[in-house]
Amino acid sequence: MRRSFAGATVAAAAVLLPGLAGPPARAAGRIAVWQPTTISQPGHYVLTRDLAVTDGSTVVRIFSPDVVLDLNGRTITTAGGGIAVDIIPSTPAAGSVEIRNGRIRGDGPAVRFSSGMPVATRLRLEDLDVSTTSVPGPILVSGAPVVEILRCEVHDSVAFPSAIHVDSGWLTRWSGTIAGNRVREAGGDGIVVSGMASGIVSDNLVDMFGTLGIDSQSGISVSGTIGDERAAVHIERNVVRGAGPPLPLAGILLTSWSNRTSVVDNVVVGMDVGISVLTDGNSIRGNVIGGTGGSGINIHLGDGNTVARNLIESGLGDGVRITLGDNNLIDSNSIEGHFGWGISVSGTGNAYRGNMLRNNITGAVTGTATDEGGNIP
Amino acid sequence: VSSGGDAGIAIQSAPHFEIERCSVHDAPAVAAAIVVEALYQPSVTGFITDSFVANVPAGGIRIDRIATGAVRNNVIEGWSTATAGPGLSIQGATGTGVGVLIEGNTLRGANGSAEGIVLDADAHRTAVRTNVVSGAIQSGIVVRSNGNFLVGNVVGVTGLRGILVEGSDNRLEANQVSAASGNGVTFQFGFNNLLENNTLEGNGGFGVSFTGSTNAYRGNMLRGNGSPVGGFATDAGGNIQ
Repeated sequence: MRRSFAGATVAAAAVLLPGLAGPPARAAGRIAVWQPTTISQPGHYVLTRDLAVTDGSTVVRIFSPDVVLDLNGRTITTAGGGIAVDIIPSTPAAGSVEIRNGRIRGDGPAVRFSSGMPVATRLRLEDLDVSTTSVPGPILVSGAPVVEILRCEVHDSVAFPSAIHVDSGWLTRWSGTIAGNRVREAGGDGIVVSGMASGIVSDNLVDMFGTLGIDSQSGISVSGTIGDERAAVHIERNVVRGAGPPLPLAGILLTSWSNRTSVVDNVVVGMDVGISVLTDGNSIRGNVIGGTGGSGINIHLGDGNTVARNLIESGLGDGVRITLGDNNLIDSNSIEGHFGWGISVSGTGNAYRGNMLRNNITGAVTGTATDEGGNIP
Repeated sequence: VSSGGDAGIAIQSAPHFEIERCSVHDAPAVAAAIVVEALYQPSVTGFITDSFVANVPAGGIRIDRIATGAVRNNVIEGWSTATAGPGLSIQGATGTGVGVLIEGNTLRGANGSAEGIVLDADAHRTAVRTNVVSGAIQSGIVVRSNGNFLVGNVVGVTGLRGILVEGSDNRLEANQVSAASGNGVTFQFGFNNLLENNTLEGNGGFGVSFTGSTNAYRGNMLRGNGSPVGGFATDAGGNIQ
């Protein structure tokens, strides 16, 4: 949460709502929210005081599109598993919902977007400070066609299974941007994007995810839409660090139908596998990966991937490991300081060239792949 | 901020920090303009972004025992005008889970600025990207840790070396180093470092000098220096001398 306009808005609210009593008033295009509320009309709503519920009920419900809810630096606190802000679009018509600038605490989901049908409501979350112990997670978005989650902080939570989760719900795919967020001390996964057809996951800090010790967790997990060959996703400049022991599964995980993803310039440390690739045609470039319990980069059943110009250092397994993948290229990486092999390959048509492969204890390369030259063993 | 004892901005024992869009200038801070210290924490995580440091007597930005985070898009001009101290320095937390991003910072030395960017002990696996460092009277970038990736930095007009590497397993790629009074890049005591596709030109000493072992270099532009290469390392080809 970066901005706070609480003072100014309280002054305005005093004019709008003497004694903060009575129903929400409207003036100057702003509608005050001062108690648990259901929003069923478009408008710009402003929280004018902290809200807390203890009975497990929802604090703010939003049924309408074209709503801005400004938390105004205020805090919503839930107890009994209630939802702080629940967005349930009631119409398939296009529109948008924006939630911004406030704190959410408690034991229920902080923001949930869900619908019982395909909808065209876009969602934007901005400058939220979230610390909840919710299952199924503090920020849970399902079925918005466009999602932006910007500069939010999700921290000090045993949230499970993930701190930020976005999936396609009733839709076949979604697009969006997950950028500038900070996820710290998450019980499960850090950021999960499922069914993302196009978008960017960039400049996020995911620190100490998987604190519950379930080793199947990932810092950033990307999966596409079944049957969609046109997905275009960019994962860039994120810093990811796992908790442990036990170490979580992967720093960045490209799983089902996340083909042709660009994973560039990330820093990934402290998990079992730094970057785990289970799909085809991805570009893994310029990343710094280290302190892994297993491989730095692991490609399993993935074909046609490029692993280039990465620095992969200090792991207990292999530097780059390809199992049952074909036609992958390992090009101009620095792969050093591993207890296993620098490069370990199984599959057909794989090649490597120009890699720095010194100081790997078991050896430089094992398996069958084309040595295209220029490697420094 | 234009005041300070030890520091203009000092954060101690906070496990997480965020410093954004701050300006520390003309502050009599004797340690550094901005200091983040773990103190009673085993490590810290956080950001320093879009901030401005100018005309301070000692160091610019210093972070101790950082485990992970980013230092981005800061401008540091005129540090250590009275006491030697680096423009931007990080010391890593102990253990293998350390990874930091230092990106897009601009450091311009003035009135005696010492070292520019320093990756100190345990600051392993730091990505140092697209920074500009000019005018340090000592070395522009100093690396005293392992497994770091320095890429796309512009370093010049330094009093000693452009880049000094004292660790191992580091990768220097596509950096531009010129007009250093000493060597463009010096590898000292480290092992298995790779210098690839850099332009090291117009430096007073060697373009690159090696005193460690099992280091390698390739594809670098090494003309216009006092001499192109000093010491021994694996010439993996493609260097222009």
